[in-house]
Amino acid sequence: MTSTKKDPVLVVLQLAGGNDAMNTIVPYGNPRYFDNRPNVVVPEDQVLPINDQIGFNPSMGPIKRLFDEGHVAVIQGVGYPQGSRSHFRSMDIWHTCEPQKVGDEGWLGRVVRDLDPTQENVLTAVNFGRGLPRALVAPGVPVASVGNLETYGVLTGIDDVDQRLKALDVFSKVYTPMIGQGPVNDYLAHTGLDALKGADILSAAPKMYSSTVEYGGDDVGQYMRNIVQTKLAGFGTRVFYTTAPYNSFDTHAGQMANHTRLWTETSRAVADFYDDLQEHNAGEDVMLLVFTEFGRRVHDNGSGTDHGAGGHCFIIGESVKGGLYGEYPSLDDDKLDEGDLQFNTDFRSVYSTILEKWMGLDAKPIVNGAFEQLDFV
Amino acid sequence: MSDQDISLMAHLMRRAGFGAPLEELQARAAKGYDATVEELLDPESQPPMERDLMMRYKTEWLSQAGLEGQQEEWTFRMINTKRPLQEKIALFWHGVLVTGHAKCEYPKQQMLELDMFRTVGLGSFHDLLQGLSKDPAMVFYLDNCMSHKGAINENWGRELLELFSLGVGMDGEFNYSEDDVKEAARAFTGWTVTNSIPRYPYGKYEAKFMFDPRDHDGDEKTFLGETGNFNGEDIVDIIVKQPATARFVARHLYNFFVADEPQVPAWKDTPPRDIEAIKQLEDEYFRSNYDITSMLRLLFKSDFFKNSTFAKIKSPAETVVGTLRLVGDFTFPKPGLDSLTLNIRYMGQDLLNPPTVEGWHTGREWIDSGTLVERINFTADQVGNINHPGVKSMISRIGGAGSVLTADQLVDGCLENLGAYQLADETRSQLLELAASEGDIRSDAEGFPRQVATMLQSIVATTEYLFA
Amino acid sequence: MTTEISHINVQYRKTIGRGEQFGPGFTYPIFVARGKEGVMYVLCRSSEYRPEGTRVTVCTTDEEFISTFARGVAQQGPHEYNFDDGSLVWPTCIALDSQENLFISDEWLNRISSFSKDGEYLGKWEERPGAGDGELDRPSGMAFDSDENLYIVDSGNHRVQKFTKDGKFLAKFGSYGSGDGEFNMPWGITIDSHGDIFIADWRNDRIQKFSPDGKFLMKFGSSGSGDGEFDRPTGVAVDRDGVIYVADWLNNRLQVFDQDGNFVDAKTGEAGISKWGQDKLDANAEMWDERERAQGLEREKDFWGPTGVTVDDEGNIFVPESARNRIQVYTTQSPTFAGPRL
Repeated sequence: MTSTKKDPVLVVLQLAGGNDAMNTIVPYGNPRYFDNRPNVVVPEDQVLPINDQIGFNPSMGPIKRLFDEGHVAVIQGVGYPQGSRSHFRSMDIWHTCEPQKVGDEGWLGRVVRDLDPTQENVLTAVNFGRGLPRALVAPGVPVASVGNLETYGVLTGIDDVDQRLKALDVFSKVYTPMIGQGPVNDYLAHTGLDALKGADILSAAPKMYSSTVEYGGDDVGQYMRNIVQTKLAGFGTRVFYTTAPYNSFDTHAGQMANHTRLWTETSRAVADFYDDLQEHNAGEDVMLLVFTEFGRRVHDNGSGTDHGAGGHCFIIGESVKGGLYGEYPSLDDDKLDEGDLQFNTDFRSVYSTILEKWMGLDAKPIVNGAFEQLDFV
Repeated sequence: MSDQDISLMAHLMRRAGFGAPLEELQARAAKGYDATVEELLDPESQPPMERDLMMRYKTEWLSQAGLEGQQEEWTFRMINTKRPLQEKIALFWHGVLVTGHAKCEYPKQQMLELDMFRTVGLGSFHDLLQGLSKDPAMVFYLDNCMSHKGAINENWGRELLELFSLGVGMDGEFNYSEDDVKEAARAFTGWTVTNSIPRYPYGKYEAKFMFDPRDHDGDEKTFLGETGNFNGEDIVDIIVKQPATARFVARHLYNFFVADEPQVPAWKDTPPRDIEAIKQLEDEYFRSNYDITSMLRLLFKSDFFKNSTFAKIKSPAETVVGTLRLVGDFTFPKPGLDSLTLNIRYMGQDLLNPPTVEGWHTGREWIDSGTLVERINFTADQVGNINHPGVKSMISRIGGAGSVLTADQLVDGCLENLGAYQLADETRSQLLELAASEGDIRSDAEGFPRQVATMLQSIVATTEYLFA
Repeated sequence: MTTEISHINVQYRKTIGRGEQFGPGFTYPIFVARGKEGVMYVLCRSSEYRPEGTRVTVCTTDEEFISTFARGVAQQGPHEYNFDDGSLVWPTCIALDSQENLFISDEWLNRISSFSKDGEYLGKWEERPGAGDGELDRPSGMAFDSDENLYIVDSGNHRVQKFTKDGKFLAKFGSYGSGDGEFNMPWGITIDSHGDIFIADWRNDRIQKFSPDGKFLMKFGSSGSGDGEFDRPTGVAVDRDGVIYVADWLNNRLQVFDQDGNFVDAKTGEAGISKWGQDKLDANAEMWDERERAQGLEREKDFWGPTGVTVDDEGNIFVPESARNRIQVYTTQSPTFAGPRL
């Protein structure tokens, strides 16, 4: 499946905070939706219909366009057994594929180790945003984490350009491995040079890039642009990751205004990302996964929704078989799990499908088990 | 007072605390090495943190509800404590006797555990393990509250033996059997926590340890060769008597305070780096009735400690806190502490939220190409900020050497002020070249502070500065 | 207890609020101001890493949500802040003028900002950090007198300063120390119906009373946890009958004193489920079951971190608890006969 193409690339966009599934793909054909959402509700006439039962949130026009073009797979009712309503725990489960115990490695960390076991490319995985998500953490797997691509580098705090160049020259010399230093110092020297090399390469990406696509000024928009810049620069990066700002989708209150803004920004960022790749004829080998740690309560709390279970995720790309996957979870009282939507597709099925059918990897050791393959690839 | 005195004091303060600026090192060296060791080992002799002030300005530190807030609070303590070993020992035990926020979800509960580490952590290891077995954060984190008479959950029983006391093995032999794990788990049945008050609408309440006699398996057990109707306390009593436990505690103390050892999973088959040192610590463990303070007294006064300068790679917490103590910032609560503290996370150590029950891997595993960039840029930004009071003091001390400085004077002055660092010859000659590249080094010149700052930045970017 | 004061009978009325980062609810509420027509303004301090929670929540005493306004400062880095006008970093107190405009003190910015009751930003006094006349170091409690002059507890300078509403310096009293009329990092302030000034002398663990021109009148309290003793009192309020209420912060209680400063009563908290709390639990119904199972649920009543106390003209006493995201409301029974029947 993947053999004839360029190396497949996976981009992950994490919607931190728990996106409200019901107001994202709105079950407007179901009266139970309106019963449960007296206050936090998308009016029927504003829904962007997929069919006579469900439709997109009105602020998701750009993603709806890609859906209509057949490039968006909507996986409905994604989750895992005994869903945790804790941001930390649930995100941890999505990151480590360990719902039962505290996991020790991130799934994408394992992917990077499989893709580049000898660490030949310091940029096999790049995260945009400060601090590494657990998904990318595995012992011995280096991942570049870029807060700001335009200013990324070593010793960026030395303002004077001339001074900085001199200091970097010293840096590259003192990090040169020398005979007789011992394994730890060898390792450190090697790592220092890798860091310098990675920073040098990455900082070249924006200079090589030009595009007619104008992204929004929000963090997600800017980071999606950075991902395209880095992809187009051809450094061989296979896994990109970025995260919406800290718990931004955690809409306990004031949800109607906030959720609209969040999806306006996110939809635009996703469509700009897609269009930008198209403009550069570079979308064929890129797949985007958009996920969140859980959905929210079926019943609203007056002005928002609290932590729930069962969410939707999106797979987007030129090579994706668009459409609806899984079933929309029932809103009937007797089908709810402690007031939450029941999941019907395990998130590890989604991962396994991406890993096996897209990345061409053996999914079982990465997601800790065998899971059903879906058809979106 | 000699350079050796300063250099040894710098070493002691880096290991037993989080480093100190030169003026503090000089004052301590004047009091003497052994006197400083005794002061460090007796934290109560020094004033506590002013918690009322801290909580007045950082309102969230009272409720202890959020991870970021508690990471800030702990970082602030580490920066400002007058009892550095108390925070250091808490950091040590937190990395060994692990609980994590990803599961516990209530920082206050973990802070109560840290408070135990601060006090009991310098006392008897026996008392510490007893306290740990009844610590609600731990009982929940390792599922002992899910272990029942007739239906045991082995998680706590196993990790207690494997990661918190005996270790898998030593000298190539296993320290315990699978049966010992099961028997230990049986002995701890009925040790549980209260059903919690839900977090809505007013936030959480701390859990309490409870013993449920109806759920306790009181039948006979055989554990590490002893037989009886053991409960959890009996298990701990048996554990602390084992030579393997002495080895375990000694090796962990050595790894944290003296020199990087291989990672814990390798300990069964990889002998200690310095078996003589470990044996001395083991003897002291038994002689002192498992007393951690006694073991540390022996350790800090030993030759093996004094000869171990720069044999450890600093952890992210040591890096950030040590740098802040040097530059003299955040001596009072102020905005910016949150983003400052996040640097510890970016460097790979999410305090209160270790990646696994094994805690963090240490030594060279702190460093990869991502975390190295974070580390170097953070420390360089801090020491390069000539408005920081600590940096100002360094500049004025270095400038005090004369109106015209040689390149050697500049480099050596910077090294001394950063904590008596030493460089490999090759590194040193590179830095001398850098120092000389700007022509004369005049301490009365307008550009002198910047010149010093650039040298400090270049030094903290070296491999040498990664070590403590 | 003497017969003269035995009629002071303080009773629990209800609880207002729930923990919420925005909208209906509070994030570390630190002060309550009472407006007209049942409106209350709750100052939420929140934290640096959740600046969206730093705000004023406007609601009624019947817990009808009205609005929120102002917000905290999002950071870009340890030394990169944008302290825009109208933003709050360490907001501490609200004082209402006669038009019900809000004056908010900020202990970090050394700034006094003002907003209309609808949340419109009106302006600020020019920041004036320092120790000279009219300069401020960590302004904490504030109160208007009947002439609409503003008394500000200048905590870092251990004194009280008096300003016109526009910020013109008028007078000051107090200095660092523990003697009469001296302060150690004072916090709360209130002005009674006679114009006398009460100060929560925070680190001296006492309340001091002054005449309007700053003359020391009396003091009460000392360090400890017994009756009439304090552990860092944060706020003080005086009702129309002269009864004095003190938020005894680290003792987690509300203490009540007669007008001479004699101890009357101490309340350790009686909180119940608020209206918003009820909504929140209904939306998360399994938590009702968890409450059934919970051990130690009675702890929910207890105060945790009372950071101020405010009385209104209707005899209500509002105590915000920063660590519990709620306000406990008490009332004092009036001894005056109100009829109509025996």
